Amino acid sequence: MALFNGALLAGLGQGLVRVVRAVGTQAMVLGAATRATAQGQCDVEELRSALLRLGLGSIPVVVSTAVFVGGLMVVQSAPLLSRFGAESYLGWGAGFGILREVGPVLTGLMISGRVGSNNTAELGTLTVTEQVDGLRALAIDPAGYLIAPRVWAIILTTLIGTVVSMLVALLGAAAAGLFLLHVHPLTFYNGLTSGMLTWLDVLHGLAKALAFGVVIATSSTAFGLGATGGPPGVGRAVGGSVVATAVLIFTMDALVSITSRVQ
Amino acid sequence: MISLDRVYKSFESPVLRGVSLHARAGSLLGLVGPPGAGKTVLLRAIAGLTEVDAGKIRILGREMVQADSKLRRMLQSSIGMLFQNVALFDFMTVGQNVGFPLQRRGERPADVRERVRVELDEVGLSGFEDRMPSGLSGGQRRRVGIARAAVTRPPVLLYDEPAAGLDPVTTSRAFALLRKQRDRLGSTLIVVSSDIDRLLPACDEVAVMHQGRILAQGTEREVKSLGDPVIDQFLEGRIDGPL
Repeated sequence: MALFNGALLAGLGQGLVRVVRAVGTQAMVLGAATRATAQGQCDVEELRSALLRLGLGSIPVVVSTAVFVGGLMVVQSAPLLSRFGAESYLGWGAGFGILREVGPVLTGLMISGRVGSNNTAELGTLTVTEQVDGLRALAIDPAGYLIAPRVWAIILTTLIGTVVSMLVALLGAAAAGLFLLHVHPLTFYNGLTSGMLTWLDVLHGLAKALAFGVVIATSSTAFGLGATGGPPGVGRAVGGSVVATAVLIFTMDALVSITSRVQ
Repeated sequence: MISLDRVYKSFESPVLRGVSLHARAGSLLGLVGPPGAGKTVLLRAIAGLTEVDAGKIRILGREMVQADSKLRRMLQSSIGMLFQNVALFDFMTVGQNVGFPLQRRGERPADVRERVRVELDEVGLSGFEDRMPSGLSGGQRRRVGIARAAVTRPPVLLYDEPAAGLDPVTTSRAFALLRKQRDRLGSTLIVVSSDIDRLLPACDEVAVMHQGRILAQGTEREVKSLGDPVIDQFLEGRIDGPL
């Protein structure tokens, strides 16, 4: 029993050290990006390229997911709303869920899976093949050329993607409401703007999107730059990044929800 | 031009154990030794890519180890380096790879194109500008790496295994190219190579490294005349001996 407790404590201790180290590394990534940008070293061409490559390519995934999720929210709630004759609350209910929770979380997870893993794989490959060292050997600061453009591009992508996701999910919900519950889109709109939902709910969702963007950007970058051991190391880094980012997204979701819960 | 004074570096175990080395300006110094001797780590330390634990590294008369980031970048910009696995940027074409250091220095695109053309011509790869690195053979990639390292005409060139995996003729051409770079650019070259038979005739001096230490440095004749059993066995490639 004592041996079991010792092993358990040792495992917990090692786990804690890993978490602290991972968070510290991510803070360093964010610090490096901020420093490089403040010093005017963020490569604008790379930022533009990253936004196009990572951001624009994510929009179809975000849109296609959001339209179904918006619709499914109505499908799930339709029987209950019909039973109580509360169809006029459909806009409020769907808006509340989409703006505060589903929009940001879903977009965060989608962007983590598509953009974050891509970022980790690219940086991991650059790292294990010494291309990052190649940049440093050319007196090019990787913080300005590789890190800052990707970090800001991912944060911006997550923010813009969340706004798009919210809008498309609401449209999907309105469409599902029309076809399943015969709720006129105007009724849906009136429910949405009846005053029970405010801009604070939108800001709540955007605050989550910002937090998720930071988490996805720093986690995927840190795992990529920390890759070792050739191609298998890149694979391990991608896997680690996806899992860690997902855990962090839900952690940040809980933190933001608790600190700004509805009164 | 390049001098190292009692440089130490440990990872899990000591890799550099008080390395002292001197490369004269405009000379070609061959750095040889058995695998695991610390040659690559030493090159990376000179290039400022690996932090050393102790010691001094002076490049162009300036101290690299204690340098702030601005001075370090300045010193690094005076160094061209070829990595052991070449490390070409695989998301760029050959021309973009070679021209990248010039482009980052704000050179005019027309000048960059011309310099790229000249450097690729020097390494025998004229017309390869638009090819991607993934479509090149190992020898071609290595020659592109040599062209990229030299494109800014830096006063210091560090080459880690420039002839690895090359056939004998291409290897001879690669070393002839390095001598040509030394003569044409007046650069100081430090070259790590396992191909001792072809490296030694190309060098002005050779340094033999073993277990993180420089055993000897001098001309080929001077080093061979020392009678050190490790050096003799390594340079002669004998099976029996202390190695």
